[in-house]
Amino acid sequence: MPGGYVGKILEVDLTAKKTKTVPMDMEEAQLFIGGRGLGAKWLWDRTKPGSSYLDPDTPICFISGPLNGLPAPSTGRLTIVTRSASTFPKSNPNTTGISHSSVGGRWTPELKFAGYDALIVTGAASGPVGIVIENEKVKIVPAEKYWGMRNYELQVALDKDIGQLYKSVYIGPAGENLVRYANIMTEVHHAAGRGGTGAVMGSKKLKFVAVRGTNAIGIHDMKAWKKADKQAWTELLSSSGFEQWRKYGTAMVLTASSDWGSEAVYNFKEGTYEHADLLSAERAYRNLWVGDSGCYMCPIACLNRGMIRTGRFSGMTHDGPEYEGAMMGANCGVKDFYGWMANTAASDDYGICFISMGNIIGFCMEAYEKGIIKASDLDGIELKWGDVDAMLAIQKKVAYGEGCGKLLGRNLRALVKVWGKECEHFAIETKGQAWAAWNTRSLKNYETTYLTASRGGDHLTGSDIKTQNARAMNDSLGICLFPQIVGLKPETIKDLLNAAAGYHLTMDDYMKTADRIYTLERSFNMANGFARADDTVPPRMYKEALSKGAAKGKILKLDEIEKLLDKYYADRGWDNKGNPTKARLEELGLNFVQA
Amino acid sequence: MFDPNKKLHNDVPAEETAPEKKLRTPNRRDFLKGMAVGAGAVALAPLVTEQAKAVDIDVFAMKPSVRGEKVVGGRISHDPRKCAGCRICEVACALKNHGEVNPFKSRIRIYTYQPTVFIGIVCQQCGDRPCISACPVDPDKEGRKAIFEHPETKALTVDTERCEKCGECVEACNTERNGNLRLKEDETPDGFCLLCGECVKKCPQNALAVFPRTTDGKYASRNADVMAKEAIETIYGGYKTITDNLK
Repeated sequence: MPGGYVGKILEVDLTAKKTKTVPMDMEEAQLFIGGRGLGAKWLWDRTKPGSSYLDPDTPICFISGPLNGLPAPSTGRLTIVTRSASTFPKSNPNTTGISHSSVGGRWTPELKFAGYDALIVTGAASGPVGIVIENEKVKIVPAEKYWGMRNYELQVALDKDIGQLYKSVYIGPAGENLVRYANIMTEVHHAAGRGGTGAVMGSKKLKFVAVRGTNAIGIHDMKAWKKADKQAWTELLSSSGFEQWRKYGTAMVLTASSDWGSEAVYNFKEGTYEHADLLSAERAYRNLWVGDSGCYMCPIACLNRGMIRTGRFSGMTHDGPEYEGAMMGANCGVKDFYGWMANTAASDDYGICFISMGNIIGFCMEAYEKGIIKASDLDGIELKWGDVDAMLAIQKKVAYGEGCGKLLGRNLRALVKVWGKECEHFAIETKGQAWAAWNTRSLKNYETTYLTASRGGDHLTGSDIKTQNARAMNDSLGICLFPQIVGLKPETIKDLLNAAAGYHLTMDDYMKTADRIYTLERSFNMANGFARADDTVPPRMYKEALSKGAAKGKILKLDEIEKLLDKYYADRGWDNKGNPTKARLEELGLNFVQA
Repeated sequence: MFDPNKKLHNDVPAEETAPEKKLRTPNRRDFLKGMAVGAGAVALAPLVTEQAKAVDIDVFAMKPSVRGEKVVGGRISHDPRKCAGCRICEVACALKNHGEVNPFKSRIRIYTYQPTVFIGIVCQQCGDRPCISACPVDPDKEGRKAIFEHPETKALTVDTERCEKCGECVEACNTERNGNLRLKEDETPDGFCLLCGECVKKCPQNALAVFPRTTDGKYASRNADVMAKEAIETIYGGYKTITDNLK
């Protein structure tokens, strides 16, 4: 067994209540590395085109990468790959695309210490269940007791019942009620968001997976590893942005982004928020945070532990604002700092993705302001800009699927369908996935990430092919992308992989592997009815210019977007309809994909 | 006769047992030499790196600690206010003392409690040593039982050859102290701390430090649940959490 991998996959069938361990296919692992890459391959193998994410046969794969758990910086990332609940093609709203959802915390290393590279769950249980893994002992336990619990109380209960040293991933009420943007959470604050993976887990009636392991992970070439590892730590710790990242986390760009005109403000109408100083990292640093919170092996610790100590929300503890929290803040016109915190805390507690939730609330607020919907459409909630109590009420309805929450818990396209075509102009989504808090009009070429991400309107995919490839590798290796943003070079990560797993990849091979992963994801989506017509930006982006701030007058142009797509497809080796060409597929070793 | 120096690192692979290079603390002359170069940053750079490594010297050479007191030995202390729960210390300890990436074998453990606090549990080198008192093995000529205080480092050490695998020391640690002492697969105790200082050096949050050890470990070495309760009260001011607010 080469180092890095531990060489076993745990498969759990919840319908038959059976578990089995299968050896890892190491040739496949070398082609697709792990995490996001192997997930794409397995999803391709195990699902039929056009099937639904609610189909019990749809697997949900919790996959580690070869670097997970090893002593390199930030190696705690888990990637959850399954059929997305929130991206779907225009041609067929019944099927959905691929979702790769990444989360930090300390769960994945523990899975590897238990002796498994991946956990694949298929089938659906008849009643709520949980999975408890301790090395080779795998138990499917009843979880009626925990069903309905919110994430915070669930974590406390699991700590008490199962043990302090177990790490768990779980869903909150939102996942149980199949909200299409429900998260899988770990350790209360770490969220695997954006794909609606929580809904898939909820449809299988799987409440939690607790794991603990006592084995070691091997390293193939210790000497080469030590050299690469030293280089990695040096690059990261000596980079100029490191201290800033550690102090504020992603929240440091909250005010800066507003200054650049790239924040999501009033449902993406503006890029500059006039009250940005009220919702700043500096304010959180002074009034909220009590300490850092880092994922496994992470010196950056971009999360913060925080507590509100004044006002009517006092006593609430949360991991503090981060940049994407702007979706619940500036995007909804919020001025109340603590109310904003309360809303993001509530999202985490219910297990809702607050990026999507903030986007949908912003959309509803605009529709309400324009008179398209009345309070009666929202069960009597008057959803005015910045009303934090109304937002809390909406979130509760969404999480438990009550009243209007049933509709709001679907997605923007469903809302446009019900509330009328006039809403389409300000429904900010791509492939059904709500956009995150980067307003692309003022950022050069940033729309690429929203246009071409395989999981829809996603800000993390990367705005050019090189970045996209490097990040696809990060997700596959199980190393966080933040060290790379701070200063860790992809070359060093490649050296780490070579040393750990005993590969001899050159930088070209490394990028080609990423290309293979990315092209396979694209092929999966295309096989499920996606087309070039799905690679779009919402009308607001090219019909309405920004009217305030440094980016005043900035607007996207449709012909430029088309040109950008043409170039992107050509560079990727895809035809002008966005389908990977046969020659390209063969070059990448994806012969099993029918072009 | 048992040679403590030879047995100091029980499980360490050969390459790790090489004697540590003696570090030189910078003196006034170095400082002046640095000043002569001109830039203040250049002058300070060697000082900072040496200071970071000074932990080794502190413990092993028993020099005055950072707090200026003369201490014999020391203990590794964990600050829950600074700790971010990244487990770098666990991995560092397992790598140094067991030569493998396996935090389960680490002699320091980070426990997570809600609302989020991280409690580091490591042998506190209690002055009264309930574990040694509990050991039923007859003392040898030097007065050492199977679990004993190392004469040089004053750190808790185990002689696995003489150990009777009864688990009395673990029992004592569990009932009276933080319970970090535990039985390995071969039923000899593990979880004692050799004061190698690897975790302290590697901690990116400066949450670990070497402190003088206390004559009685009852306060410093309480178990994780009790420490967590106190840490939550200190840091968050009580137990009121998001769960209460949303009801």
